[in-house]
Amino acid sequence: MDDLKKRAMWAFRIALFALGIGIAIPVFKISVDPAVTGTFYSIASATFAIGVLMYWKIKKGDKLVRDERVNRVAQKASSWSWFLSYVLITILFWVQYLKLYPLTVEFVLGLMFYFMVFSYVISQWYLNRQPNV
Amino acid sequence: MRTKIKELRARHGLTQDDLAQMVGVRRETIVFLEKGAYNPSLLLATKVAKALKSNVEEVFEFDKDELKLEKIQ
Repeated sequence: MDDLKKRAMWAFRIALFALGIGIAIPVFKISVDPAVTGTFYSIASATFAIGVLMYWKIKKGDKLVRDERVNRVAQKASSWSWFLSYVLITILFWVQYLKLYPLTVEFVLGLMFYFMVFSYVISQWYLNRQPNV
Repeated sequence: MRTKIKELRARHGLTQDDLAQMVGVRRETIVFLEKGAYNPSLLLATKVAKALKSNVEEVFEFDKDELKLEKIQ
């Protein structure tokens, strides 16, 4: 089994495991915060999506997950994502300082959580389309 | 930068997938290399040249301007 196939299989296993826990919590009436159940569903859907993406790549003929070009893309995407997150934090600071919008800790943490992931994924997608990285 | 990868690959009867497996990169990387659009590391360039039974200077060609050295003061 090649590298990408192995990783795709692991993604599906993790997705199934997280989904199982997400379903087991209400079935066995385990008392936890509803956010915990939601988190397991989110993990399941995200890892399932990653698995599907990997299988799509295998169908396209890719066998390897990483090579030097992919590593360069990942490094550059990380630094772009870091910079964009820094810009967002700066904007949020001024929004709070100038009292333009009432910010809560939950809102800021939630926004940063998703923004860091999305900015990385989008940077990676963009850089992957560029020939020279 | 121009490359002779496609020409040398055809001469040796190798597919892009074969060459990618030989040098340990994804086929996509070979596609970009063949177009002369991707600047590989010295190690990858050497591996590609070795796989094509050639040397780096033969496989990868640069314009004179690209190889121009800066004067030191």
